[in-house]
Amino acid sequence: MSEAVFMMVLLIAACGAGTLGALTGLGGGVVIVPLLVLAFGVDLRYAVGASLVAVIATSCGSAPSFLRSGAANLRMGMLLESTTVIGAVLGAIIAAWISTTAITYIFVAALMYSAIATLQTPRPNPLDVPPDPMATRLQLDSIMPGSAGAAPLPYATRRVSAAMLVMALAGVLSALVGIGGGILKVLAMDRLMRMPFKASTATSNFMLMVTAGASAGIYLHRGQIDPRLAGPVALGAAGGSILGAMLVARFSVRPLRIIFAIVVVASGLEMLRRTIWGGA
Amino acid sequence: MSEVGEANAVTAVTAAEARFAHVPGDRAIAARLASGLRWGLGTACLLIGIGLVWQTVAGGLAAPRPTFEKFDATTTEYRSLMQTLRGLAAWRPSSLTQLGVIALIALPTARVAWLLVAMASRRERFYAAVCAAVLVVLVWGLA
Repeated sequence: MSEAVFMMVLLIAACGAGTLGALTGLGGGVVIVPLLVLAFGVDLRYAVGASLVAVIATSCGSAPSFLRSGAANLRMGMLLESTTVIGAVLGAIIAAWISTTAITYIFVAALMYSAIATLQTPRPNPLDVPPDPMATRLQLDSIMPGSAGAAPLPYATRRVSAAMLVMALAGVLSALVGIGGGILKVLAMDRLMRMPFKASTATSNFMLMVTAGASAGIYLHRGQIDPRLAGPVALGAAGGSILGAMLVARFSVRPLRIIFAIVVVASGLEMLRRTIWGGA
Repeated sequence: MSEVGEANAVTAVTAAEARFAHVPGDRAIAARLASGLRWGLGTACLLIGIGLVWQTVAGGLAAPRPTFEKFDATTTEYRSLMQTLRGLAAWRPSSLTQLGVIALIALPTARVAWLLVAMASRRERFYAAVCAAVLVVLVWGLA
């Protein structure tokens, strides 16, 4: 395969991953790393570097619509970023000291958890949650804008400290395996803080670029971000995320989530097989 | 409703309004931030796109694909902005692609810096301090 064809195929594949990630609301990171490793034979360290750049691109591509719609909670994002960046830097430092085999095992575990979380149906959170004094003091409570004739939805948040700890863990995971850690972020905001699901996904998306950006700089200095790989992947993922955001209203998300979960589990098992038994 | 009941109802409404008083201001900041992110992403993608086309034209359609099968810790040409600019001065197409990639990596840092200024100008000391702390970590990672 020539360099031109390789870059074109990479661009199209990353565009597909970005579209699927945006349609399912889970970002493209969990697809891009297995895609690069399994389909293109790329070393995991290069794949993680390219994936982090793609996560920044997809987050920057889809965050503007969440910001304009008012779904993203700006203050929540700023606050939770304070622990997630520390986690991301720690993760990038840890990644230099552990083997690629260990990183693969952690990645496969993250893939399996992502697949399970993808298939769970979000439950509506109760609206009469008593306000958390810390959340009130920090003005974290907000209003979800109304859509399709529905009235705006004021919501309170709680368990801020616990969510900040989960965010630190999301940062470590993101830096270790090159995904955005969006699954853990949504878990913290939706399940722990009891934010509306749409506000959780929008705020998580807004934060992903900062989580990935914190470790991407470190990977750049280590030589793990090569433009011939990261360039087409980032460009394709950015285009895919914008396309996915445009298509999301026209598709039924449930079947896509099932396909996404199957792809993610199959990729994880194949990565595990190659790590344990070797071979292509 | 008695006078006391009416007063309590007014207090409750006022407290609820105070709880969400920050929302309109935050929405205005978010809208401006959205435009900034679109421009930043557009610029980075343009640099990457031009770099990739230049690479293809310069290398020819039959140039062999680079192998990324083994991580090479010894390559130094793309590890910093300075090395990338040196590569660009030497007219290396992949350095333009890397410049776009670096612009993309720097975009979250620019976003946090912008929010720091926005929060400081609204005298939101706590959030300005949070943004400053995040900015320090991001700049440390980039430096």
